[in-house]
Amino acid sequence: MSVDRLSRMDDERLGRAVRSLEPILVVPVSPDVREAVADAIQAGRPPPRHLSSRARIVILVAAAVLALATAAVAARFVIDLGGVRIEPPPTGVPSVSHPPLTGPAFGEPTTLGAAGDEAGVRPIVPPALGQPDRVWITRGIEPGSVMVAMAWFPRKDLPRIPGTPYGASLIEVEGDADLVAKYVDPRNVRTSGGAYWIARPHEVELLTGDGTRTFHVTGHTLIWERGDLALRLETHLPLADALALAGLPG
Amino acid sequence: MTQPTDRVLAEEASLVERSRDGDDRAFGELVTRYQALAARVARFVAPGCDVEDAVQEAFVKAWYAMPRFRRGAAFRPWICRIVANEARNRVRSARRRDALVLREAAAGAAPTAPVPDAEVLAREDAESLVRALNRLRPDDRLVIAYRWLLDLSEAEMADALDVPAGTVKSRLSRAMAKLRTEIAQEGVRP
Repeated sequence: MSVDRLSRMDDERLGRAVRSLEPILVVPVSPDVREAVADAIQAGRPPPRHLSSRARIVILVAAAVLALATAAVAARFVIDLGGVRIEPPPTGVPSVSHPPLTGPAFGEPTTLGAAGDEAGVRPIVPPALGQPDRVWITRGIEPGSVMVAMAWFPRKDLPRIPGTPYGASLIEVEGDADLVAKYVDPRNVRTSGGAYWIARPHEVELLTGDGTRTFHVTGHTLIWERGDLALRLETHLPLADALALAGLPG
Repeated sequence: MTQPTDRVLAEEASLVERSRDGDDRAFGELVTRYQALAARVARFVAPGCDVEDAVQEAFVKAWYAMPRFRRGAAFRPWICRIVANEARNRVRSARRRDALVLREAAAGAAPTAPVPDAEVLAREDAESLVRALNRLRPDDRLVIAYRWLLDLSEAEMADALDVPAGTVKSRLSRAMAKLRTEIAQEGVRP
């Protein structure tokens, strides 16, 4: 058989060719993790945190890019967001197109009242946005970690966010656990009114009980904290309008 | 790998139910059953990652997520999904390494028993195929591995990949097309 013949096989035959590799593949040494898992469970240890310990919404900065940023910018990330994880840029990983952050991606549909009951804290609804058209709830890995998401359909003061059916979405994260993470070049992050502003497309990860899922963000996002809540507002508005919607000083 | 029998599935359903109720010994049995599979999934997704660490963390996360595990759902694709996500998180800092490696061909060694329902490949072709698989994106390699190396059913693949059941075939078909392209590249390599 030649490479030429392999490449001409239909899916079924090529699949059977892949299957034929089974007995001659080196199988990774099977780890015996039962004891380690049992120890972790019995100790009540939550899974090792994927991100920094204090941040609820975390901006992840590629190390190579951070080196170009000023120390002041880096320091401000740490102070205002409670922590920053510095990772090498994802070299060697082919770029993947991720779905937009919409609908079921936010979690289970619910109502504002039920979300408040379940989260144990009343979600903040900025008066300028009014009652949300959609509400979802998602639990994080750790007890007490919960994310409430709201969305508003486009209207005169809320242009549609590209790739989504919404004019605005607001994520609120309660609990001392990592649930939302963003990969952002710090040169694309501005600070204003005690909030962070990202007006470039980027990737966002949701770390929930079902694992980690990555989404593509096309809107402009404003991230800030209020008490124990971390908030993330996405719109397609300029900074000043987003700050006004959030009720933050411009 | 073969499809689990009804008896195995019934046992597993009982272990899952007890785990949902907080029985850590039952969960330990699930860990024992699936840690080898989990290691392979981690390897397909992120060959350079610390497989043991990824598998361990995935099971700890699974334990904490057990109360939300959908009653009556299959455990195997669910744990595959958690492991794949865990491994994917680690691929960023992992060094490049091949996901699939063939055993050394020992001179004079008896040929391996053929796998039922599999094409018979010459060693050279097997090596080309493995190189092509290793050049695929991890997610494409994973979908092919789920179907042809781990024998997941279509429904299990949909669960494991967290995609609608109707899109599994098209995903697999796209991944196979990419594999075919990579194989063709083998033919033009010096």
